[in-house]
Amino acid sequence: MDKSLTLALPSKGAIAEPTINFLRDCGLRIEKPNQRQYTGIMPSIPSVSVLFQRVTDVVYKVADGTAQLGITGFDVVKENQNDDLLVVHEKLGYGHCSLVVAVPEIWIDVDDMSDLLDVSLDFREDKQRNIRIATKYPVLAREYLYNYGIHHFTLVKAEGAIEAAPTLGYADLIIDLTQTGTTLRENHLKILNDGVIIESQACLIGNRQALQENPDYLNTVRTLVEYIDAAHHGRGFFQLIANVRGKDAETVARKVASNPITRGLQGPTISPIYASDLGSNSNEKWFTVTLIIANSSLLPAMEYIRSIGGTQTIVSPVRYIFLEQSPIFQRLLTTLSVTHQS
Amino acid sequence: MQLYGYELLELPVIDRADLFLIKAGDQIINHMLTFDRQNEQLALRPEFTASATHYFVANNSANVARWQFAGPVFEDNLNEYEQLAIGAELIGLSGSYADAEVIAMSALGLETLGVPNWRVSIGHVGLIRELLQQFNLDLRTQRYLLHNLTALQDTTRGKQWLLNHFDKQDFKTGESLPTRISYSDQTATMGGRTYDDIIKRMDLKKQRAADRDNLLAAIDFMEDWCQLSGEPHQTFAALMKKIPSSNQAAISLANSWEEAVRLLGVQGIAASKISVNPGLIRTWEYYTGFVFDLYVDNVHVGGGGRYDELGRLIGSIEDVPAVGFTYYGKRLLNTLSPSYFESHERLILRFDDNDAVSSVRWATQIRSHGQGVELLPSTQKLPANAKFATLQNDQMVSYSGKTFNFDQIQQFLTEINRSVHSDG
Repeated sequence: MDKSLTLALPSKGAIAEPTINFLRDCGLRIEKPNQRQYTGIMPSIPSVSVLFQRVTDVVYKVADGTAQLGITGFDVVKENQNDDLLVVHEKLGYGHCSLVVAVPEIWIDVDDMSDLLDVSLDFREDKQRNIRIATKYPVLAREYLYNYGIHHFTLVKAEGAIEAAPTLGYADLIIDLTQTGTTLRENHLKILNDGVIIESQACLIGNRQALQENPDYLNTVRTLVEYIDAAHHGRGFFQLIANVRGKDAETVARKVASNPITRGLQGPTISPIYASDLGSNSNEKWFTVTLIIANSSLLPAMEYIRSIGGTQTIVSPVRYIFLEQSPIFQRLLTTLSVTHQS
Repeated sequence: MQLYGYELLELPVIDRADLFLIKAGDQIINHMLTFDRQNEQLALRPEFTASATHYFVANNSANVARWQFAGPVFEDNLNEYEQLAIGAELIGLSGSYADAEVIAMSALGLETLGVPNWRVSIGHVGLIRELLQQFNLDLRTQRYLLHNLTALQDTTRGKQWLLNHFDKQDFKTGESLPTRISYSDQTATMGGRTYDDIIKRMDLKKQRAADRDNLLAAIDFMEDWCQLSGEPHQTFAALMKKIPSSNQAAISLANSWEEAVRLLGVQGIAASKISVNPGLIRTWEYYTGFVFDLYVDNVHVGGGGRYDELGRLIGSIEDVPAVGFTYYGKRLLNTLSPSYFESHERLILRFDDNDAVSSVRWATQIRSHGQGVELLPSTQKLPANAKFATLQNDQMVSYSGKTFNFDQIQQFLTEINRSVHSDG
C-alpha cells in the first residue's frame, strides 16, 4: 500500500466549508469521525489522511513537511512564501477575494498609488510621522508599497475588523482582503484605482521535497489532482442527448457538426433508434445524438438541434472530463523536474 | 587613514530602522534588512554614516571627529546579504579643505593599495538643489527631478521618459479636482488627515498642473547641466556660464566646489584622474554638498560626499557639517593585484607536538617585532601557497633552507620580507 499522504485543510474561516464542498463535488468526500478532532479521512483515496488547521497554519504545515499537500488561500501562500512550498493548482475556483489598498473616502485628493506616495511624504514633512497602515499582510503590503516608491510608512499589525482601524484612529488606511467591497464602503473606505495587490482564491499547495523524493506521495497526488482536474473541466460543460430525424447517420452527423457550437469535443456520437412512429415507407429514420457542449452555449445549441429536426433533448451536467493526461499534474512534474511512472 | 588622524570607531550592527530611513534613497530602503522587535522596527546596518552621525550627536562629541570604520553592512539581496564596507567620516568641519581631505584620502588610499587605474568623478548635489529653486517648483517636484536626474544622462530614457514618468504620477489631473468638501464629509473617517490637509493638497495638485512650463524649463536646464561632464578646468568654466549671475548662493557653492578640486591637485592628484560631473547624484538622500564616486577601471569601488543636514535630522538642534566616504570592500578587493595579497600573506610556524612551549615562545618573539604568525602543528596540513617556517628545536627555526637562532630573529624576519618582495 502507498505511504499515507497528509492533506492539510482549513479548519475555520471563509474557505473552510467551501473547501469541504469543493472536494465533495470533485468526488473526494471528507469524513471527519469526530467533530472535535483535527483529523479526517478521504474514503475515495484511502492513502490520504486529512489534517485540519487554520489557513495560515496550512502553509506552515506543508512547508515543514508535516503535511505533504494543503488547500489554503493564494493570498496566504504569497504572504508566507517559502522555498519548500510549491503551488500545485493556483485556481481551484472558489474563495475569490482581493487584497487591496483602501483609504478613507474623504481623501478626495487621493485616487491612486501615486497620490498615496505624495500623501506619505506629506505625513513625514507636516506631521513628522510615518503614514500608518493596518494590515495582516505585512510582506505583500511592503513589497507593493515599495514598488510604487512609497517607503515612509509604518505597518500596524492588526487582527479582526481592520476596516475600522482608520475610524478608531490607530491607522490612516488599510491593506486588507475584500470580496465585494461592501464592508469597506460601510466603513467609509474606498479602494485606490491601482490598489489591487493580488486577486486570490483557494489553491492547492505541496511540499516540494516530499513530492520530489517520494514516488508514493506523487502517485497519491496524481490520483487527487486527476479528480480535481477532471471535475474542474467537467464543470464547464453539459452533456446533451437529443433525438434527431434524418436520412442516415452520416447526414445527421454532418448537420450537427456543421455548427461549431454543436461539434462537441471531438465530434457528435450518432446511434440509430429503432423507432415505431415512422412508417416503413418513410425515407427518414431517428438517431440519438450525444454531444458535450460548453455551458455558455446551451441555449444556442438547443435552438440549432431543433432547427435540424431534433427533439426530446436531455441535458445533464458533466461530472468529470478526463483528458489524455491531467494538465495540472503534468505541470507539477515539470516543476519538480521528475518523471512519473504510475 | 591613521596618517590623517582618523580613529577606528565600532558601531552597532543592529540599530533603529528609522535612523537609516530618515534620508535613505528609495533604492536603499527597498533593500534594507529590517525586522520588528517589541514594536520597534530594527535594521541590520546598511551603511555607517547615519550611525556615526547619531553617535556624534548623541554623545556630544568633540567639535571635530575623524573616525574610520570597517565591517559588514547588509542589504536584502538574495545573492549576497552581507557586504564589506570600509570608510571614514569627518564630522564637525565645513570648508573646501575638509571636502578635499576626504576625497584625497580615499583616492590616494587606492594608490597605497597598489591600484593605479583609479579615477574620481565629482559632482555637487547642493548646487543642483540651489539651481532648481530658480524655477519656483514645489519641493516635491524638485525632489522628483533630483531623484530622476540620471534619466537625463541615460540614452535609453532621456527627457521624454522623465516627463512621461512625471505625468504618470497624476500631477496633471489637478484641474479636475473638486474645490470643496461638504460639511457632512468632514464628520467621516479622516485617517489621520484634517480637512485642511486635503484642501491644501488639492491646491498643490492644481499648482503642479499649472507649473508645467516651469517644469519643462527646469528639465531643459538640467539636461544641459548634465552634459557638462569632463576634466576640471574646462568643465568649471562651462558650468559657471550656466549659473545666472544673480544667483550668488549658487556661484558661491560652485566656487567652493572648484576650490576643493583645486586642493586635490595640491595633494598630488593629477587633473587627469579627476572628472567633474555636474549631474552626479548618489543613492543616499542625505547629501547636501559635493558628492563623488571612485572607480577602478570601470568598477565602482566607493564614493561619498558632504551631508550637513543629517545631524539635525537625527537630533542635533542645528546642522552638523560632515563629510565621509565608503569603499565597497568586496569590489575593491577584486581589483587588487595578486602581489598585494602575497605581500600580506600570513606566516605559519610549524612545530612538533612536543615543542609546543618553544613554538609559543618563538611566536611571541616574532610578534613582538611586528610580524604576524600562526602556529600549526606539523600533523596538520599546510594551506596551499602558505609561507611557513619550521621549528627545529627550542633554539632554532628554519625558513627557506636557512636556519636562525633566537639571537638572529631580525635576520629571520628580514629573510621573510626579502623573499616576499623578490617573489612579488
